[in-house]
Amino acid sequence: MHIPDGLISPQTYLPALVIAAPLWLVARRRLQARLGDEMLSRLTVLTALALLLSTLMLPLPGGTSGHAVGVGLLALVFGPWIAFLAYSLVLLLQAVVVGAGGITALPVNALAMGFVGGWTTVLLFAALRRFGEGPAVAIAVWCGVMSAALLLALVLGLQPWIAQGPDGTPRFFPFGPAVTIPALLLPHALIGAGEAALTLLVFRHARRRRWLEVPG
Amino acid sequence: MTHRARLCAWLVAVVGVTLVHQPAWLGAGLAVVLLASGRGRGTLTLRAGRAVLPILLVISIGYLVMGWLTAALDWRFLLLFNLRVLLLALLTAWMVRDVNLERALQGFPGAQRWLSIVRGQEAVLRRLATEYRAAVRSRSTVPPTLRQRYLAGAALALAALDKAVYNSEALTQGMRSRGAFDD
Amino acid sequence: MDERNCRIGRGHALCVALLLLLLPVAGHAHALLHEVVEGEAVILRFTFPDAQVVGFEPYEVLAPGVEIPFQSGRVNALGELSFRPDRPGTWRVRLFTADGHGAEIDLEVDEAGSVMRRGHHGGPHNYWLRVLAALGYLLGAFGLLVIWRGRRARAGPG
Repeated sequence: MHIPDGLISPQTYLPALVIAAPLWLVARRRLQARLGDEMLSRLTVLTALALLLSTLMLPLPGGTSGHAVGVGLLALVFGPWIAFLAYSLVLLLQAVVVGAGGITALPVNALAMGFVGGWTTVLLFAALRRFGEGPAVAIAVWCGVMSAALLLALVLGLQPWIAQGPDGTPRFFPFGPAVTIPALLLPHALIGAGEAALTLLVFRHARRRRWLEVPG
Repeated sequence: MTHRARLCAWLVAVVGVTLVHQPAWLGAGLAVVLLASGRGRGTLTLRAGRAVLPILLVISIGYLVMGWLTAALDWRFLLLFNLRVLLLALLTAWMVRDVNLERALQGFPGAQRWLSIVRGQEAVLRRLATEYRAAVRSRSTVPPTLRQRYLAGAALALAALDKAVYNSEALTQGMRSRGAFDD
Repeated sequence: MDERNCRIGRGHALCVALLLLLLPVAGHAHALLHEVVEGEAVILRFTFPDAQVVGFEPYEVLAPGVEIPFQSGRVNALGELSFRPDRPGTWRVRLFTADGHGAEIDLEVDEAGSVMRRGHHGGPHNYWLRVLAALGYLLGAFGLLVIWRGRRARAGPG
């Protein structure tokens, strides 16, 4: 669901950068505090998995592309802060090395998928786990994907109001939320289900191997 | 121009393009990029086009339909939007083609180490991918059913994950035992 | 009874004699013949950037469009390997060093067996190669983190 360059106005991505930068610093401090050799190697591998998952793109109607995200897995195994940082690195590499996604849209993408998606997954998982771990992981990951998609749909849908010419014509993305919300949420309901199944598979494996960093 | 300067120029250009709202200027920018990108500009345009064409088509057609329904169609916007997204994609494709990140990072502390690990990992990954392909080909005399394929895929992915974690831990320990962290 | 024993004995002797006759043939089948072939080979030399020799590292040579190695082995003490392409096309040479470095080189070979063009495997535009490169950068970044942590841990108590 990366937003590519050219769809989001500077009036949106610059404030997003201002919000994301301190969050990255906090996340970096969290990472430094908790880093151990074993955790580092797992983090490396699962971040690489997230990068692989997020490169399998298919274009979606409504102007963006759909793909598995992988941040839910990172958030469940390492916690939301580290997941946010790791996923931001994934987005940066995608923009600079692969040439996919967008460098100007990076803060928006990182906040929506890495931060909101990760936190939604972790909080929902904590709330739902007394109903059983499997369903809790699946629902939490699905909701994480949907929350990120909803935020991106809102950001895109607000572009005609945020950035318009003197005569009121849009300068970046032209459609309002009435178009973007269904256009992003409907396909992501399916993508989220696939991602939930995939995350459950790897999560159970991680539990068996005792890789989980989030207590309980 | 050094590779680091090229990388910075790309960043500045990409941000700059989002600040320009005149189709004429964006068109001129597109022409300049096409002229300056030298030989292989056809391939470059094709790559950039392929990356953003689905998005451009969907949005442009959607905009046309909406405009036709609401009788508020602005051709200038359509031109501006398409030119901007195409120019940004072209700039990024050009950067990916002509900026050698390894050279751009030269001189930064630790970058040399980073890059040596990068090259090593790339080779290891490529080898893993080839071995996997060869293994699949050697095993599949009869085409497997879809269910078998899913199960095998899941088992293989988890095995690969284990192997990757193991490799990663072994690499760290190996580097430590060889004194990679001692200087 | 004696006659029967005698006949069996003669039979055995005949078998042994026959086997003795066959032995030189079998021996011949196990002999290793050789000839010195005059011809041209492709010779590749590998070095590290600081001109250090890449000695005795394993390599594979892949014929055009074939995944199973055409030739494999270790480079010599000078970091060189040589092979004789038996068909034109893109030949691929892979070298892996013990410390995880590696190279993959494509060689365009013409009908006469000489190298027309060489280059590293794939172009910068192949999508999956770029994904692979991104993975490499990612793993490299974490490798750097490991090094940095190791240094800090050493510097801490000292």
